[in-house]
Amino acid sequence: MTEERIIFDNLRLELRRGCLVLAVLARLATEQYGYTLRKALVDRGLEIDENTLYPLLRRLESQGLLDSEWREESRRNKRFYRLSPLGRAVLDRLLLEWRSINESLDGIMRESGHVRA
Amino acid sequence: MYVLDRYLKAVRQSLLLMSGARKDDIIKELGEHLRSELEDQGVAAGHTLDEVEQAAILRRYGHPWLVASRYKGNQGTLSFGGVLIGPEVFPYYLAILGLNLAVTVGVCLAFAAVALAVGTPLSRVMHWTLQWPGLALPVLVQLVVVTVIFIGVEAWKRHWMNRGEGGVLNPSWTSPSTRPRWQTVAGIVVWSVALLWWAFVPLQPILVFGRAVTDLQLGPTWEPLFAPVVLLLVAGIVQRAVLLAHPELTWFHTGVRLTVNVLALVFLYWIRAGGTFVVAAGTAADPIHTGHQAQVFNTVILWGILSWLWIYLSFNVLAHAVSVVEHFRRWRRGRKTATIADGAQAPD
Repeated sequence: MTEERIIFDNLRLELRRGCLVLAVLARLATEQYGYTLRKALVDRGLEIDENTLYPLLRRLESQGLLDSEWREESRRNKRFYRLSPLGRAVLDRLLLEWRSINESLDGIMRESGHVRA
Repeated sequence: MYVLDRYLKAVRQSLLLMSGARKDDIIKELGEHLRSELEDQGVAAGHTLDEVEQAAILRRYGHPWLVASRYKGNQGTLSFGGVLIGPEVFPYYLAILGLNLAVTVGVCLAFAAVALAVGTPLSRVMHWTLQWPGLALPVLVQLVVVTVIFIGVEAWKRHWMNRGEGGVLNPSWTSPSTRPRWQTVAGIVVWSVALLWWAFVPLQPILVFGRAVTDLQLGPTWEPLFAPVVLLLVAGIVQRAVLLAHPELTWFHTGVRLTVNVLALVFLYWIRAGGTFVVAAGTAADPIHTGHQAQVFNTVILWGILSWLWIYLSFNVLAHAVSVVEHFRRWRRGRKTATIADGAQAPD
C-alpha cells in the first residue's frame, strides 16, 4: 500500500465517520432493523460494513438518540431501531450544520478553482 | 448453520468484560443479521449454501476477535512512528497489562505484608519495595513483555486479515483438533529449562539464594520433594514431545496435563502444613539474623509462591477436566455416528 493510499484512506475514514451518523439517523426516521438499514444505505451508495453499523447503532442508542425493541417478523426475532424524540431534535440540528458546511465548502471550492463533481 | 453457530460462539467468547445479557443481545442481533445474509445469498445462488460457501461469506466479516473488539468503547492505539498496536487489539492489551500489573503489585505487597508480619522492620520493607529494583523492576519487565507480545499479536492480526483465514470457519473444524506446534515447542523449552534449574539446585544452591548462599541452605522439605517434581517435569516434556510428533493427539495432551496437575496438587497438599524449605547455614556469620531471613524465605514460599500455585493448578485442573469431558463426549458422538453409518451400509 502506497503512502498516498494510506493517507487517503485515513482521511476518507475521518470524512465518512460523521456522514455515516447523519445517514443512519436520517434513515431511522422510519423504523428498520440492522439488515434492511444496511441494505438501504448501500443501495444509496453509502457502503458501511456490519462491524461498523451495529456498534454505531448501540452507541447511538446508549446516547438516547435511538430507541429499539425486539419484535418478531417473518417468524424471526429482529431488533428494530427508530429515531427517539431526542434523536429527531439532534438530527434536525445536525442537518442544519451539514447544509451550512456544504455551502461553505462550495464557496471555498469555487474560490480555489476546484469544481465539485 | 453449524459454521455460523461456531462463528457466533467464537465472537461471544471474545466479548470480554461485558455482562452476559449484553453479550447475548449482541450475539442475537449479529446472528440474525448473518442468517439473513446467508439466506439472501442462498436465494441469489439458487440453493441452500453449504458450509464451505457459508464460511466464505463469514470470512468477509473478519476474525471473531476483531468483530468483538468493535463493540468495545474507548479504543486507543499505541503508536511510535507507526501504529504498533491498533484499536482492535488495544483494549485487550490494556486489559491484560492491567491484570498483570495488578497481580505483580499484589504479589509484591503480599511479600511486604508477610515480611512485616514476621517482624522485619518497616524501613527495610520500604527499602525492598520502593528502592531500585524493588517493585519497579517487575513492573517494568511486565510492561515491556506484555507490550512486545501485543505488538506481535497486532502483526499476526494484520497477517491474518490479509490471508482471510479463520479456524472456526474451516468446515472440518471440530474444536481444536490439533495443537499449534509453536505452543508445543515453547512448552518443551520452558519445561526443559525448569527441569535443568530444578536438577541443578541441590548442586548449586546459588540458583535459589544468589549472594545469600553463604548464609542459607536448602531445608529438609526439598529432599522428598525433589524426585516427584523431576518426574512431573519429565512427564510434561515427554507429553509435549509426543504431541510434537502427533499434534492430533489432543486427548493425550489433555489427559496427561490433568494427571500432572492433579498430582502437583496432591504434593502441594502434602506440604501444606508448613515445610521447611530454607534453613540457616552452620557457617552463617550472624545466625540470629540469618535464621530470621530463613523464616521470611519459608513464609514467602509457603504463602506467596505456593498459594499462587494452588490457584493456578486448581484452575488448570478444572479447565482440563472440562476438556476431558468434551473429548469423551466427542468420542461418544463419533462412535454413535460410526454405528449409524455401519447400520446404513449393512446389507438387509
